[in-house]
Amino acid sequence: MTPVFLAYMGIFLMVGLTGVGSAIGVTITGNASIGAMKKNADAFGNYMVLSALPGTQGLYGFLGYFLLQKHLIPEMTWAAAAAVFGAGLILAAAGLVSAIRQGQVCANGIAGIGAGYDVFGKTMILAVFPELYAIVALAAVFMIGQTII
Amino acid sequence: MILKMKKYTFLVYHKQYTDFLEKIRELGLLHIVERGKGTPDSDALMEKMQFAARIKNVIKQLGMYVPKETKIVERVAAEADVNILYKTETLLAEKDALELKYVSVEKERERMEVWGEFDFSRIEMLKNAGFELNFYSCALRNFNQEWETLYNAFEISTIGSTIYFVTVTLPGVKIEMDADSVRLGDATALQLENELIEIQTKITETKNAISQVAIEEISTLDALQVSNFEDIDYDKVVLNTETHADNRVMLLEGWCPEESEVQLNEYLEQSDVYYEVSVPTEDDKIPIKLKNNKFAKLFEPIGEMYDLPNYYELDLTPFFAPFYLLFFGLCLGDSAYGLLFLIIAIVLRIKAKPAMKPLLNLIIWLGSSTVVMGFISGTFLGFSLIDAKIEWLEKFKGIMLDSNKLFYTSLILGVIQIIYGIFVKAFGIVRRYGWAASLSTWGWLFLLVGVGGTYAVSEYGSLNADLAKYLYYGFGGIGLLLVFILNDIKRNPLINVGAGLWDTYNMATGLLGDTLSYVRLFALGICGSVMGFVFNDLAFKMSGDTPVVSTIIMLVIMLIGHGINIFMSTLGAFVHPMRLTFVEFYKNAGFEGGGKKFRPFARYQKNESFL
Repeated sequence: MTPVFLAYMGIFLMVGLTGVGSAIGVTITGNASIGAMKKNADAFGNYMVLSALPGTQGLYGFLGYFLLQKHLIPEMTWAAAAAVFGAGLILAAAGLVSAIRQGQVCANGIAGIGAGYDVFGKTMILAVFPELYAIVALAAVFMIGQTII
Repeated sequence: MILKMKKYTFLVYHKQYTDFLEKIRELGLLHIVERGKGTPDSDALMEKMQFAARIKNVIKQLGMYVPKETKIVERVAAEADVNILYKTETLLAEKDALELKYVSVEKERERMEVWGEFDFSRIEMLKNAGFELNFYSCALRNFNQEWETLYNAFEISTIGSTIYFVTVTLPGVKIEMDADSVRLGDATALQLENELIEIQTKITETKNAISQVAIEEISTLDALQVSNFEDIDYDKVVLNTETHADNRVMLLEGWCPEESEVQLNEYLEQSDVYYEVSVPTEDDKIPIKLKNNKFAKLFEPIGEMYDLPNYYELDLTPFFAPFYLLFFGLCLGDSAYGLLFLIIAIVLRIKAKPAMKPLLNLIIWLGSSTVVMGFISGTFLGFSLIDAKIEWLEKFKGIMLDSNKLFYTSLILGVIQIIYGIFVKAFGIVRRYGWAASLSTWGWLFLLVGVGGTYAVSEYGSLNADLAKYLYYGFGGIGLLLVFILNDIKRNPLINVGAGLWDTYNMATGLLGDTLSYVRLFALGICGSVMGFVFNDLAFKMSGDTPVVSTIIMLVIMLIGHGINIFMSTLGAFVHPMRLTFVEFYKNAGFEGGGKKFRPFARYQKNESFL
């Protein structure tokens, strides 16, 4: 195995798992929206906004790749490869779990709106709580990227 | 700012009560106090609420029957006419019934189609002549030729693999065959086809009649809805009235803003109503009416999405508004997107209804902020301004922030907002409880601003080491004294030390987490910029070299890509600054919340709030 292979494994996990997390998250919210529309179709705008929230983690995964892209060269060292792999793993784990959990928070909010409760604003605030950890992971990727020589 | 309120208590003779309530509603200045645990229910109130749902449903359905590009007749003073509601409901029910009938006749026609055209009188004649006719269907392969001789089976039609046939037998003949018996309907396929045409005509006529009502009578139904809403409000006020002296004296309580009490008092002085005015106490649930300048007012709906302040604390809207504006711009982080919002909002504002203008004004502010912050973070439509080789841009590059600077700027902005929040908290405590209660908060400000500021200046600026030492001692000493000894001047100093230690633990862990949370400003800003850059890159690389076609493909990719990016980035730029405001800033500013909005008993006004 070459260093660049290990580094790309990290990129694979980072982009892939954050994308998977977002896909699951938006599916959870999408399903909840369809269910809620049977009760209250008038609030589709609210459902759509909340449904889109878990989609960001997938973008963070891609951004992480972008931040590390310049280090992915055939002659990279093992140290650099390990850093890229580790950075990828951090964002992959945080992105995957936070997107799914954020989707669940949003889905509950959507169900609440469907049932006639005015919880749109509060759901938006609560829904970004899990996302912070994906953001912190992204910041860590950025900082790791800065330290790779 | 939260408007000061006065509590009014009225004692009204029961015969004057209706007139009194009518006048109070006309004035629209009084928020009625709810008795006990909210407004009690009554059958009449429930009926009116159900009636409101009926009207809403009819108005919604009528909306679908307004032909495109047809203007609805808007009557300025439309009268509430309940007959229009009944008429519309009847028409809608007729239409539904006709549509159901159409479906069932259509099914019957399909069923009868296989028997072709025939005369029912001929069947009757055969029956009268002593024959029995039975109709059957079965799979073609199951049809037994013997049935033709045994039961006089005649094939009528064969569709696909199913054969339809009729048997003509004498009475008493027992028919035993592996086929499904079919009941013949009352009409042939052709007769049913004609019936379908008739039903369709009636459906069209009914729909036209509904459209006519939709165009001409929606104002009437709106007026009916308004009248019903006002009745509901009125009933609620009556239900919140206490009766005394064998229902002869009515007692009602309400809140009136101090700035409007002259108007209310003028009426009360002229009337025979006995009333008392008092100032609110800590036990009262006082409604909240905010009054801010034009700029801060735009952010009130955003603040209300979380919670309203309670009566005794500060309204934080004017304090968070500039930060929200700044953070939105930083999170969206692309001048071109900001410019787009700005232009769209300005154009729409020209012909916008008054209710929409606050929203458009807010978008103008947010767009302007994005233009500025996008320029500072060096992004225009996904292109990096920092890397651009444009002569006139060179002189601005000094103020532009690359990703590294943006990262630290986000954290610094966080520190600034948190410290600002603690200042607001200290100011709020002084205003509410006096200086003595705020000493601990001021102590933290001495430590954070004084000691932290001295460290920052001595590290990154030029500060004499001796002076720095004295400043550390001065700020640190005062800060520690206030935090650990004087945090409650009426309490035992030893307990104060313990409370100070607990406060220190909370402050240290809280501040670290809060500051780190602001890293989202960097992450969202850079995410939008990078996605924009990637879409541009895709557009340029995938469009090929064919003249004209390449340009079109490039523009299509950019349009779709930036469209998605604008949606996702705007969503993030709207939500994440909200979280920073309501969690990090509100917490450090000591926000308690729990306020209930001031809703005066007044003539009904359509709620056109934009959030």
